[in-house]
Amino acid sequence: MTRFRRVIDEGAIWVLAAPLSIWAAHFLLCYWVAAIWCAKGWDEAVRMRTVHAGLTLAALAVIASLAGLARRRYRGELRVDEAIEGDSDADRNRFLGHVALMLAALAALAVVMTFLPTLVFRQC
Amino acid sequence: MTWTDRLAPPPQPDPAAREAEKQRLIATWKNREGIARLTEVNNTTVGLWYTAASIFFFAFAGVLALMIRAQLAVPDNDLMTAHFYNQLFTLHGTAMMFLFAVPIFEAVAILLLPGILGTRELPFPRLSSFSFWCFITGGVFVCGSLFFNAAPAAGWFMYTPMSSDPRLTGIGTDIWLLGLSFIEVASLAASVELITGVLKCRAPGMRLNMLPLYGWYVLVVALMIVFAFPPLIAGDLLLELERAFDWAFFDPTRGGDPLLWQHLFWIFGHPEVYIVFLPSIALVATMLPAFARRPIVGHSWIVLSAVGVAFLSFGLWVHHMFTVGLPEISLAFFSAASEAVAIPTGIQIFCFIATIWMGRVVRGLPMLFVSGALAIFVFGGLTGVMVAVVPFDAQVHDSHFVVAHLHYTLIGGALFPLFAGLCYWYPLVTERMLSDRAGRWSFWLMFIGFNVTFLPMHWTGILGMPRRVWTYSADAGWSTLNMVSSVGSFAIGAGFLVLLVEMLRPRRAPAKAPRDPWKAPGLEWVGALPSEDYGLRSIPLVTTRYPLWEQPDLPREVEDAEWFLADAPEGRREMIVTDVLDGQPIYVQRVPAPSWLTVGAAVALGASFIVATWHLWMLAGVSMAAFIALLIAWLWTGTARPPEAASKDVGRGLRLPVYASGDGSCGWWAMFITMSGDLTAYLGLVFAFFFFWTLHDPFPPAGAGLPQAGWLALSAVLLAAAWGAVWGALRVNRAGGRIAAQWLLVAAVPASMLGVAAMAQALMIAGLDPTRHAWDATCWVLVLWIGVHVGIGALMVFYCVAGISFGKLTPRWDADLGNVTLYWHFLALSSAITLALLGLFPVLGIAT
Amino acid sequence: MIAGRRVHFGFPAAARRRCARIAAPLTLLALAACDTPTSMLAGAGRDAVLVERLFWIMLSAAALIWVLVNGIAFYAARTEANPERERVARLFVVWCGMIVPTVVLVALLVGGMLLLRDMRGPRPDFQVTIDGEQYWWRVGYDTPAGRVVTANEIRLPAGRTVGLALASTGVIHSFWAPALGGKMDLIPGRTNRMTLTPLEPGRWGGNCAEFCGTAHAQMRFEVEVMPAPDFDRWLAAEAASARVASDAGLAVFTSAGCGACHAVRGTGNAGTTGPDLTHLASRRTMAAGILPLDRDTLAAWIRDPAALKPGALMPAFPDLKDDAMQPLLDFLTGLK
Repeated sequence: MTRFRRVIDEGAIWVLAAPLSIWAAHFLLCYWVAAIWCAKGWDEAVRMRTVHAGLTLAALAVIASLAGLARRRYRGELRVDEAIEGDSDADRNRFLGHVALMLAALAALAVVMTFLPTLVFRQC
Repeated sequence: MTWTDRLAPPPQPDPAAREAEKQRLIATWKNREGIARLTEVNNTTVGLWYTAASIFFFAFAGVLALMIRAQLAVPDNDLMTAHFYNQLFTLHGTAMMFLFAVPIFEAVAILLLPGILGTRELPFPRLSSFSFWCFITGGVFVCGSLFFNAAPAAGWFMYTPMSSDPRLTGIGTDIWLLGLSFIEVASLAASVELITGVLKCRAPGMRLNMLPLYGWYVLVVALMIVFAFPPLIAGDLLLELERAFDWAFFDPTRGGDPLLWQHLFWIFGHPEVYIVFLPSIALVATMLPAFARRPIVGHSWIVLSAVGVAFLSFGLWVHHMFTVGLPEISLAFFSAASEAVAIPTGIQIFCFIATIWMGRVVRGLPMLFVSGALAIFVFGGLTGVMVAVVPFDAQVHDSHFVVAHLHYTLIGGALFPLFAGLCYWYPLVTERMLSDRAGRWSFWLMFIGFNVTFLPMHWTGILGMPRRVWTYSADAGWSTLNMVSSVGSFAIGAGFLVLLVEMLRPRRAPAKAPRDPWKAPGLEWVGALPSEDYGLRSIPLVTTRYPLWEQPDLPREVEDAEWFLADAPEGRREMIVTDVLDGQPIYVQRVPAPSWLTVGAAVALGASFIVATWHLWMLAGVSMAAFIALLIAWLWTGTARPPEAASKDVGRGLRLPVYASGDGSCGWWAMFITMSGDLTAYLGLVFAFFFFWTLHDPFPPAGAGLPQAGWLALSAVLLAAAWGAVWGALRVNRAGGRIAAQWLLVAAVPASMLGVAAMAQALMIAGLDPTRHAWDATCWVLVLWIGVHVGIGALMVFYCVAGISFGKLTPRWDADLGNVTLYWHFLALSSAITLALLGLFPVLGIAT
Repeated sequence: MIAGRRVHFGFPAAARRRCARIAAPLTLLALAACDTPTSMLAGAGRDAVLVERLFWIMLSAAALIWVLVNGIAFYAARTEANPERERVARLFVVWCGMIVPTVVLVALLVGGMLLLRDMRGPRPDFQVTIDGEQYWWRVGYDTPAGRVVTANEIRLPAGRTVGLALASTGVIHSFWAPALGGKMDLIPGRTNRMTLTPLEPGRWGGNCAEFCGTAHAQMRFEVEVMPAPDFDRWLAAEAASARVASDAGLAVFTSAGCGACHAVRGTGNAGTTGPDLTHLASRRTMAAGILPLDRDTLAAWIRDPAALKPGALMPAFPDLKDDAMQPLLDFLTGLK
């Protein structure tokens, strides 16, 4: 399993995929919670909005920690036109960190946008 | 000290030896002549055919569009019948999406990717060839049905229950379902190949931060295909089961629901839009540096956008279903994601504009098409943001406004960049330049024609004209606008014709395109002209992102055979497989030579799908058996043969193994990707299960049979034993216990088959009847899925047993067994989920 | 119809007139020959008016953004390369590519959601059920005296909110009267609900908006919005049994088996497969809004429906002799 592990651990490829996977999980859970709460009428037991808020906070917390991880790999100021094209392991690592960090920002934004409907629509 | 520091200096020039090497390379890679040419597997040849075939289907679907416009030109037109018109628009959408938009991505990628990544071939050349022949067979079948007035006529979205009830739609629907499922298999095969190609088959030294943007996009899009197509395949399976065998999935009188199909279709259908769009953006990102004379601004930002769009595009599917009556809050989630996806999409566009700004732009035909694309696509994107707002969509949904919107995004976002790419890479393929004058004529005809056609169409929609209508009355007030659209559409056709004629017309003058005519930085331009079938003379070491700009000696070094694999002493086609992260060479992969087996396998598989359309199950079974036989012969002769020596010198003193097994090998990655897609299709079925759970209260419905627990437990034990046996066989074989491994493998077959039988028995005892209720049908389809996979798994196991017996698979050369074990891991996972759904879920469901 | 429209919901009158003026050339072009307008901009219903305002705002913003983006690209392509511009380019990508779109999109999302909440808000004053059939619309009014069934022509009172219950037994259809508001699908096995608040009296056109088979294009309907008192009178009349103008015609109707599919209340014919014909002659159109209702068209329709409307499921009666057809037509045209 060595090479697979290397890609996962050393390469931090998973940090690239993780933030938006968290968004996807958050999105699906919010949708399912809404669909199930509406279909099964569970709103009396637990408020749907409470569940959504909890999910959002959890998602943001995980994304923040992922961003921290990416930030450590990137070790730099966030710049638009930084090429990071050097021929070394460190450069490759920084490049992936850079992309992962921005993906975390995008994921956080998308999570917040997914939460907005809950504020507008009280019930089904 | 890295591996590059240990490389020897380039060899001394020795013209005679160089020439001998070159002749061996030529002999090894030479394309077959005559009829045997059809068996060719090299990516350049197959990619070219694939591209030509996709463009042919594009032209076919374009002609259908012109016929549609001819019918709609005047009100109350009697040019064609309603039924024929319905076939036209169904086939137009179907062909454009499944036979052009997705295949052209794969075609161009197969053609260009190895060049752009600085290598000679994709990892599985026979798979490319197989994919192409599947595509041709299925495409001709689906399109040809029009000439028998039997084409699908229920829309390219095939909504149930119209499509699921054989009394409402005829054989056209079966042709659509089976023909396209077959083409989807071809698309998936090509995607697996492309993903593995980007990850594992790059020029040595090409680290991820040097991977060209084209590689990133291909990776992202191919992964999207792997996760987006399977839900549709699952949907196709359910739909065909209902049509052919009356299983209850979509019939509301038996607990089914038409909306299940819409979910499964659009979970595929919306990512599909981005699957079509992103590859064209990739072409722009690849061309732009050459014309701006500088690197792309914000390389990492574009990677971020590509990855971001890929993810977010999976959260948009319900925006095709805003009017089906879902709760507002559900609609709003998808509205949010639909707005969010515009952000990464916009970032790409603005990075491109920034690049143009900071560079000095050189004019050229490709840039003309790119600027036209920008003008059109931005407009389509903006109307896209508009239709993402639910109340507005409630008005314009399924009106001609949406027709206009989607053509703005697809033609602006996908077609114009593609034409730009055709102009740009035309000299690479043909060694000739396209005429600038013809190109400009073509562009302006298409650009003006396009806007004349589709800009007024927004207004036609605002005036209330619905989609998919074969006629309208004169007093509706849509006549003038429709006439304008129809006139414009013929201008588009004329523009395309000009481009096509210019590309295909025979030329008397000899080839005269210079090498790298655009002064581009990409590796695909490194080779000398005229090119040889082998592609690159030697495989270079890449240490920069824009190699032809930053490593100026590279063309000479490559041509002087100073780098790797400059020779083919064994007469085998070879390529270097590299590490995912840093492009470090891992081993030399022998890729198989041309063979009739792949063509035969594709045709046999196609035949089994085609005859199944007429429910000729016997013949379908025979064709399927032929396919399996050909497939096994292809694998047995072509893949993972034990090598004659453990390692070889690939040049510059670099010694590499010539065989790999486990997760170092391409095969393992391909299996992993394939099974991820397969698992996604299975999850589509699981989605159906939970969908019915939210729909019905309670689910399982009161009085329904519950799978019998005892038999399920027995099934779990047997399947777990089979899985353990296969896994154990891998270990035992590696430790040298060949006979013991064979026994373990042989034992796995009856264990797994009995396991499935026990599962089926658990349902049968409980009296579950798939034609009675959606619950019964869903349970049975989950079991059916496991049953089919156990069957395939058994074939694989026998293949390994035979491999051990005949010395193809040994304790040291055990790649096949490693891949088969991986397959069984996935099978174990889906079996576990099935058993939990059948056995545990009803218990919990009743408890709540 | 544009000119005579009232101003609704506090949308600035000046802006409204301006929009109307911009739209007028295009809209009037379409409305000139049209007696049942289907334009989304006709403003005959509350939802349509709200969406129209949203449309003009979004269209203006989109036009502005389009001009800016393409203008910048055009300008960028014509300037010389200048490495000093790095900082400007970076600010450009960050602001134009990220911050501004994010703000605009979030604002649009929230605005769209608030509008949606507003549109789904009104409580219906009364209920109408609409069933999608291949290829026509069954319309039912729930009155205290029971359900009054008619087809293809929906009459609604101006100023009252109607709740529509939408269902289908065969395939999916979609109910869409653009002049009044957005659409909603009719899905077998489900009952979808939407509300409409018609404002402008008049006849407004509608179409099936979801592809439903061969005659999808010709599955139209008409909404006649009338003053509330007129509506109440009409509904009372509609609830009454049929007026038989020709006993001979009724005999043909019954003996030819028309009653197996069609109901004519009060005559013993109570089929439900086809449209209810009790007050057929009070309708202006037939065959789901595509043909004028008169003797000749009716006769042609009865002889061969599919010739007038390909895909129509009503069987043809080509052998009906003229001495049977004429009384039948007397009977049908007498069903006021």
